Amino acid sequence: MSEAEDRSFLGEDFLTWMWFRSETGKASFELPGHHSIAVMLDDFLTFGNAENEEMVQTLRHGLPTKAPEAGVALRSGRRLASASLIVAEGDEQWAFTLDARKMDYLSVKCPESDEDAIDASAHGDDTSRIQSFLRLSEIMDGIYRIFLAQRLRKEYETQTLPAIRNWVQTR
Amino acid sequence: MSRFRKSGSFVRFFVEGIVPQKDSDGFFVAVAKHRFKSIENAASEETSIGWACPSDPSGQNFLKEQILQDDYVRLRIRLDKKKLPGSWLGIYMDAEIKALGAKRIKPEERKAIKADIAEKLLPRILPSVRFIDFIYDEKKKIAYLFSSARSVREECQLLFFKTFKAKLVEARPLEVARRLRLSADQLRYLDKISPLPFVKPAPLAKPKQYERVSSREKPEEQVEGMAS
Repeated sequence: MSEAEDRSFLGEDFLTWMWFRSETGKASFELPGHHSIAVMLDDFLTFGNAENEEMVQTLRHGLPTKAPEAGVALRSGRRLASASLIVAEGDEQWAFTLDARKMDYLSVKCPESDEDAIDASAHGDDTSRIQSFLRLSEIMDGIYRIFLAQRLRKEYETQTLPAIRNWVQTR
Repeated sequence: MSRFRKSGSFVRFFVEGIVPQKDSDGFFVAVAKHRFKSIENAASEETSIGWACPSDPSGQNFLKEQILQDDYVRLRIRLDKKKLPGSWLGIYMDAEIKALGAKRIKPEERKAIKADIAEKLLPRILPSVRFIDFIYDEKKKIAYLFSSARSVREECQLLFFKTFKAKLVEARPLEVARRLRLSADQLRYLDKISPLPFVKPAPLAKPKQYERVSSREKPEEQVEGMAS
């Protein structure tokens, strides 16, 4: 299946849109049934698609989103394929890498639950740990839905896309 | 029972097809039928994959109180692989060939020696063991596999299909979008969208204006070529 047919570019668009939102002060999302959700890109970025035998450029550690290389990559039309993200809801925080084309959640670190903090050796109810992974995917689906609501409308090309292009050009 | 992980990778699948209700006998019969089967004593290179209960790595017992949790099912996939280590094979091969006293041996003889060594060694070799957590959310019809390896995904999809005759579809951007209760307009748009660059495409350069060249101004070599 070609890239256009499987719409895997939507994952890349989603990741770049979150980056754009986090650098333009719009990285907070209101999702039904959740507190306010904040998202920011962390210390790992990958540009290019290895499956298409494109050259892959990885920036890690420090603040790669602020690195000149990241700006150059964006301005030269390279697409963000994966990035480490921090998602926060209230006091809880998840850190993980999103493989945008596959929507895979890699190296997820779930928030430390009260139960873990009190007794690390406790065996028994794992519900809170499992729920934590499931909640992360639910939150990301919610944010993806907000993205799609913008991406899947005619105004995207006249409003959102020019704003992202302007951000790419001036950052 | 080993505790559920605090960190790690996971991928999601959408379940297509009918899976027996998680607390029904049909569900547990199907799982037990495809439980993990040991290859500890196998005398050939083999792979075994099957379901196991979080508290019982042998795949013999499936305890409802451990498997059924709230809206979801918690299982483990056990994947064992038995393979003859190349270095051991090399050591035994060299010894066998030396014992035969031959400088060179035919390929078919080599094959027979290798088979003999494998038969002798494999029952003594323990398989590699891997456990992969698997969560099935019955309400949402989403399965979570706690590994991102391509081979494990494929093994999991096959095992699930053999067990329940239902398909696991990878949750890629398009599949996720289709299940997010989008409006009819958005779904129509989704079917026809194409990638748009985040860099403003450069304006097309104006076509170059070529001046007309009269026959008198033709380059010399062309004129010479015509003359010959």
